[in-house]
Amino acid sequence: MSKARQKLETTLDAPEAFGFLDLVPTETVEAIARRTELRLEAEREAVDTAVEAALPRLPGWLRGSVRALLTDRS
Amino acid sequence: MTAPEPLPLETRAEVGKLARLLDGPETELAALGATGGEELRRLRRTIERQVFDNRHERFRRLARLARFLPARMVARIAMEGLGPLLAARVVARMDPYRVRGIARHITPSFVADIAPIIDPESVRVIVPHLRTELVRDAALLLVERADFVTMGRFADALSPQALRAVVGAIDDDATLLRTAFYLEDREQLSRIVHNIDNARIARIMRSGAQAELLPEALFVVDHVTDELKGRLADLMGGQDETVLDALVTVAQRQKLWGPILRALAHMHPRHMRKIVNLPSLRDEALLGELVQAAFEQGLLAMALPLARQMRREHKRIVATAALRQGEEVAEAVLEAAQVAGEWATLLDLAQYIGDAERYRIAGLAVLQRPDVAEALIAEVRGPITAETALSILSRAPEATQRSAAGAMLSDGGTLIDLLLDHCMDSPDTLEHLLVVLAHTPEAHRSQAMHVLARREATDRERLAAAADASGSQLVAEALGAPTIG
Repeated sequence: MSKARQKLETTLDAPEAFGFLDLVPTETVEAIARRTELRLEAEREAVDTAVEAALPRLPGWLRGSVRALLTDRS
Repeated sequence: MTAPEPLPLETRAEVGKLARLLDGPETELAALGATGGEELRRLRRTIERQVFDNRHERFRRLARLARFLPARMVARIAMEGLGPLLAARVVARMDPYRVRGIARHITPSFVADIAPIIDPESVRVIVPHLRTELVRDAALLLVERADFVTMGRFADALSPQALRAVVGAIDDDATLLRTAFYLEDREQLSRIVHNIDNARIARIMRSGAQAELLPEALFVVDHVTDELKGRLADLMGGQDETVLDALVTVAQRQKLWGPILRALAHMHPRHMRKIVNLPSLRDEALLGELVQAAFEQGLLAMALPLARQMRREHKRIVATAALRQGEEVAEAVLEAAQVAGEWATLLDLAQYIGDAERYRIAGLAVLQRPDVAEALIAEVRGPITAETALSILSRAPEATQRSAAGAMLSDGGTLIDLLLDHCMDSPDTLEHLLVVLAHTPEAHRSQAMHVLARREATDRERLAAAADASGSQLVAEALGAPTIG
């Protein structure tokens, strides 16, 4: 098993799930693994940014709940 | 630097979706060509789950909070407060019936903003609950944004009513084809085609017969029900020769032979005949690629009947091209003829090849199988096929000739009598037959002699002459002549 495949499966919490990637050039698997990590990171950042942007727009009675639920600050 | 190999259509569609999810260029994933669409889909779904399950529990609790608020207020908070991303994550955790109520107060542009970033799995659950006008207007906005991947995801989930409304509202046929390319539910694709009237379908398929939309059009033909396949394939096949010739060039460049062969198999013979005899297909290298593709994709049994519609020159070229693909392909072609009951087609093609090629066929191991020999012999229906079949068998190894002779005598003598009838006017063919009969298995020997001996006097004279030429001891014995050698 290639390191790139192992890394991707670890990221996706799916051990041994994508054996077919052994038949794909390493650079392509590396690209998928790298982009998957970036995508997951981008999703976390996008949600954080969206929450920060949303909070001032929300009615006061809801703001506290959203902050408590969607941020690590309460 | 060489251009990357074109991907199979299913893989191409999946690569488009994966590239979109990972926010990268499709070219970076071009090396996934050997991967099946289903495997890529599984990978994409796993990545999607990881992405969209981020803070799943928190979004679920927020969705639960919304249960206690009026629908109009939730809609306003979503559009004016949360924004598309947070709304997409929350709505995916809501009860679809609750979403239906809230969606009454949501604008189409907000739906179009959410659609590309929501978990595709929840699209399937939610979209059927949205009112038709909202879905239609949101779809039109996605068309404006040329977002075909999201459109395909949307179209997968549309109710029949919404389907009619959306298809009716989209004027551009190319958009429909490009959207269909990203659909995952094949039954839904057939439903969409069913929902489009004949004149529109004809127009869509005609636009699919333009070079740049051929992959999308073939994808549609390839993924609808068999009944619709024929209808769509005929609409494409109805184009004039110049257009079709240009499409052959595109098909070759983009390696679309598999979908082309499957479409041809459902076409009316009139269109099929026109296509298989196109000037662009009088090219040995191109037909060689086509045969190789049919071999690699297990489509030889489907491809063989197409040769029936070919003119003589095309038959000669395709037969020669097939044999140039090597022994493994030649064996597979014979096996396909056996499986599909297409020995008549194969014998017809073999008429047009020379001695060297016939030797190569004669040496193929598959011919040694008694069931194959029997099926081949049974297809000899006249002097021409007799000449072709027997000239091959007379060059075959002894084991093949034994199988063939056994097959000729397996039905009590009727078949061998018929073969003799077909051979009597051609000394060469008769000689080939006697070469094969020389290896008659012991169990059939007396029957062979009996059949030969009971022929009319003129036939017996011809048999004797052929026996002299071929050195056939069996015939000599059967005719009561002195033993040769």
